[in-house]
Amino acid sequence: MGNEAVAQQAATDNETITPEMYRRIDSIIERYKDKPGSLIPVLQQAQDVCGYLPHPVQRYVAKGLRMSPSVVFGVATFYSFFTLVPRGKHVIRVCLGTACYVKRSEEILDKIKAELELEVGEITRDKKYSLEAVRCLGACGLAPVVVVDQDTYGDVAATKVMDILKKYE
Amino acid sequence: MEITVTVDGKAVKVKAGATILDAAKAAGSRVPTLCHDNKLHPFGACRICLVELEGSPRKFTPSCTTPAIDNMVVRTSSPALIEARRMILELLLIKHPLDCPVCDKAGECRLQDLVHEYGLGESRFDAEKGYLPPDYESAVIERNISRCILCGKCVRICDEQNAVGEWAFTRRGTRTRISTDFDRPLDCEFCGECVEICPVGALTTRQFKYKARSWSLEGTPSVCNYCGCGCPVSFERRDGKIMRVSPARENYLCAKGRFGWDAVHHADRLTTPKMRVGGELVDCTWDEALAVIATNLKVIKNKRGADSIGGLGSVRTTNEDNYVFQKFMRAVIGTNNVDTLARLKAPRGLNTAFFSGELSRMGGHEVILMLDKDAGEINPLTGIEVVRAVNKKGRNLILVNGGYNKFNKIASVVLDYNTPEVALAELLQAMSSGTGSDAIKKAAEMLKGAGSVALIVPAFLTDKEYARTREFASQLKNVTFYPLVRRSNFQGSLDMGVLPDYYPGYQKANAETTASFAKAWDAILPETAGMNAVQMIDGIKSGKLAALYIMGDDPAASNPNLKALLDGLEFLVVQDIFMTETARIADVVLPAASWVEKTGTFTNLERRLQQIRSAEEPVAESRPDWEIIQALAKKMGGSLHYGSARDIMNEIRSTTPLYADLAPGSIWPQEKSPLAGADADLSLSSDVINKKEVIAAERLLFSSGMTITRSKEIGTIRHNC
Repeated sequence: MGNEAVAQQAATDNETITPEMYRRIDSIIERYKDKPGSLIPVLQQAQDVCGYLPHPVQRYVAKGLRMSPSVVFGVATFYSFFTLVPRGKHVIRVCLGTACYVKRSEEILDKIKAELELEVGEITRDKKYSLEAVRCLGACGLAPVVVVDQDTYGDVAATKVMDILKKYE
Repeated sequence: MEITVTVDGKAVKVKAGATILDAAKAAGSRVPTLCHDNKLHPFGACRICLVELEGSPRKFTPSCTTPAIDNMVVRTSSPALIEARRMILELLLIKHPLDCPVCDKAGECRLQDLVHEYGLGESRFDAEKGYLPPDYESAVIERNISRCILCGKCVRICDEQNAVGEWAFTRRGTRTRISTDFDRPLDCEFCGECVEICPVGALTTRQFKYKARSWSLEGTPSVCNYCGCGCPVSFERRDGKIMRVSPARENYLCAKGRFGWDAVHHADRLTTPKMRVGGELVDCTWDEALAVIATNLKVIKNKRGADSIGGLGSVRTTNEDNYVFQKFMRAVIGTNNVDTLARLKAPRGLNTAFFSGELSRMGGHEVILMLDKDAGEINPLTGIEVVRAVNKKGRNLILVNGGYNKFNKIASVVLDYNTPEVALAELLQAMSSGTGSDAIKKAAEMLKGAGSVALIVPAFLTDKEYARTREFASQLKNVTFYPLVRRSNFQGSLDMGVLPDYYPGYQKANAETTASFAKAWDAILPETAGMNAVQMIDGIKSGKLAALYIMGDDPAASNPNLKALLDGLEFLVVQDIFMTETARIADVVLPAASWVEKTGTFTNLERRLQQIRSAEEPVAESRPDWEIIQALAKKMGGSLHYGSARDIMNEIRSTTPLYADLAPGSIWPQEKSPLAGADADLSLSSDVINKKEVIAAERLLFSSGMTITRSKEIGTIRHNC
C-alpha cells in the first residue's frame, strides 16, 4: 500500500469501525488478555468483526494485550490471512502458481481487472469484490484455478470467468 | 558448576549454561558476530558465528545460541567455515549497498569489517540492490532501510532493555523489513540505543550526519548533566569540538544524554561579562564586572549588614563550584544565607528518610514496587534498570499507575490508582488482614513473600503521602529506596553545604562546627542563622534581602512571580552559561564555563562521586564558576587560593568527613551521614513556587529545566511530540 493510499484509508477507517465493533473487540481481548500467545486469535476475531485490520484497531488490540503496536503490525503483515485494507463482500483469488500460470491464468486475472476496474489487492467501488493473486492453492490438477470465497473453480477460461462471478451478488 | 570445553585445541572452564560463544571468548578465539550482543538474549539471526563441533551430526552450529556441553570440542576456524561465512556475507551483500564512503557507520561497522576481513570485493549474485528511500521523517534518528541486515538488534534492545518495542520485524520473506506500525515515523523515547547497537549504518543520528569519520574521534570520559542518574558518557571530539556523545562502559543513554549536549553550542551562550549601564546590559571586562560587584556588595554589607545579602547555588555545577560558593558566602560575605532553589522541587525525605540504593543493583531485589509511573521519564536510567530487572532477572514489578505507559507491559501487577496514597493504604490493609481487590491481594502476597523489595519513591509527595510511604516501608523486609532526583548535581549541592543550616557534609551550623570551619578556613564566620531559599524569596518581599548572587539558576524563567520579585532587588548578580530570563534583569552578568568545558566532580543520586572532564575550551571569555568566585573574593579582600578543581577537592576531603576518603566512582555510605535516620526533611515548600512542574504539558523525558530548551536536537523531538 502506498503512502497516499494509507492516508486515504485512515480517513475512512474512523467511519467504518463503529463503537459497537470496539465493544466486541473488548470482549475478545477480555477473553484472551492473560493468555500468552493470544495475539493471533485476537487479530483473527477482530478481523471477523471489522472485515480488516486498520491502524486504529491494531493499536487498540496492542494496548488491550499490553503489547507494542509495532509487534502487532509485524504479525498482521506476516500472515497473508490478515488484511490491512477492507475486503469486498466476495474475495476472488486467482492462482498464479506454476501450473496455473502455464495454463494462462494471467489472462483470467487481466480479464477480471479490466471488467471490474480494479488492481490486485484492491476492492471494487461498490465493495462487492476484492481481488487477490495467490501462489499455488495445491489444486494443480484443476489448473487454472480461481477461488471465490470458499468455492473452488477448476479449468477456468478467461472468457467464462465473468459468468462465474455473476453468481456472487 | 563448571564444565570444560576445548576450543581450537585449548581447554577452558566455563560456567554451566554458557554458550559456545562464551567459551570461545574465554579461550581467546575470535568468532565473528553480527546479531549478538551481551546486553540481549541470544537470537541466532545472522549465522555468521558458525563453528564446527567434533562428533556432531550437523556440519556447522551457531555458537551464540548453542549452550556448551562438558567435554565439547569446538573448532572456530577451518577452510569450510571460512567458506560458509563468506557465503553468508555474500548473501547479505545482495541487498546491502556498500555505500561506505557516505555512511556514518564506516569505521565502526561490523559488516564492513567482516567484508574486509573475508576479502569480498564482488558478489556472484547479480541482483539489484534493494533500494528503499531513507526515512527522514523521524526526529533525531535516520533510518536507511536498504542498509539493514535484519539482525534484529534494534528490535530487541528497544523491547528487552527499554520495554518500548518501537521496532518490529514486519512483512515477510524478501520483503521483510524492520519498521513501526504502518511505517509511521518514530514516536518513542528517542534514546538512540538502537542507533548505538546497529551493527551497520541502517540507523544513524541526524546530529552526527557527515560530521566526522569515526576513526578521527577522540573520546573524553565524563558525566551527563541532565538528571540525577549521572550516566558516564564519552564526549567524542574532533579538532577540540564535540561531534557526538556515546555512553561510556556500554551502559545506556537517554535522549537528553545522547543528543542534548548541543545546548552548550547555542547562540545564547554568554561570551563576555555584562553590567547594567543606564538601564541596559552592556559588555565589559572581567575586571570592571568584578569591581562593580565587589563595590556594591561591600556598600550593601556596610549599610544593611551581611545578612541582607543572599546566595543561590546551583544543582548543575560541580561540587567544587558549590563548595567554593558557600565558602564565599560564609567566609567572605559573612552570611549563612546560602541555598538552592531546587530544594523546592526536591523529593521528600531524600538523604534523611530515603537514601538511594545503587541503580545497577535493581535486579537484585525480588520485588520492585514502583510508586511513580513517571520514574522512567524523570530518571531514565532508573526506568531502564527496572526493565532490565524484569526482563533479564525475571523480577516482579508492581506498578501504581492509573493510566497506561510502557511499564504496564512488563508489570506483574498493575494497581490502577492515580496517587500512591490509596494504593499503599489498601496494600497495608491486605498485608495485615488479607482483604482487598484481586490485584491488591496479589501485590500484597508478593510483597509479604519477598526477601527484598526495591521501592521507587515518587518525585512529588504530599505530607500525607510522605507519611504513608514511610509507614508502608517500615512494614517491608529489606527495603531499598530509589528516590527520583531530577537535577544532576542536586545531591552534590546538598553534600557541599549549599544549605543555610548545614556546613559541608551535613555538619549542623552550630557554634562548634562554625568554630572548626573558622579555623580550617582561617576566616571569621557568621553566627546568625541563615535564610533558606523560601525565606530569601520572602525576604525580598519584606525588604530584608537587598542583594542576591545567583550561580547557575534561572528562577525568573520558571515563575513569573519570582521575576517581578527579583526585579525589586537592590543588586542582582547572575552567573550562568546562558543569557537567561534572570540574567536579563540582573545588574551584573558573568559568563560561566559549561560542564563540558571544565573539570570537577558531581555526586549523583546514588551518592556516587563522579569525575567530569573538560572536553572543549571554555566559550570565549567564560570561566569555571569557582574561578569567577575566587577572583571576586580576591577583589573583596577575601582569601581563596585554589590552583585547580583538584585543590578544592583536597580541601573538601579535609573539612568534610563524608568525602574524606571517597574515591571517584564510589558511593558514600548512608550510615556516615549525620542526617541518617534523622527526622528532618531537606525539601522546602513555598506558596510562591509550585512544587509540581509549571509546564505540565511537556514530557518530562525531554525536559530538564532551562538548559535542554537550548538543545537543537531535543527541540526537534519536542516539536514532533
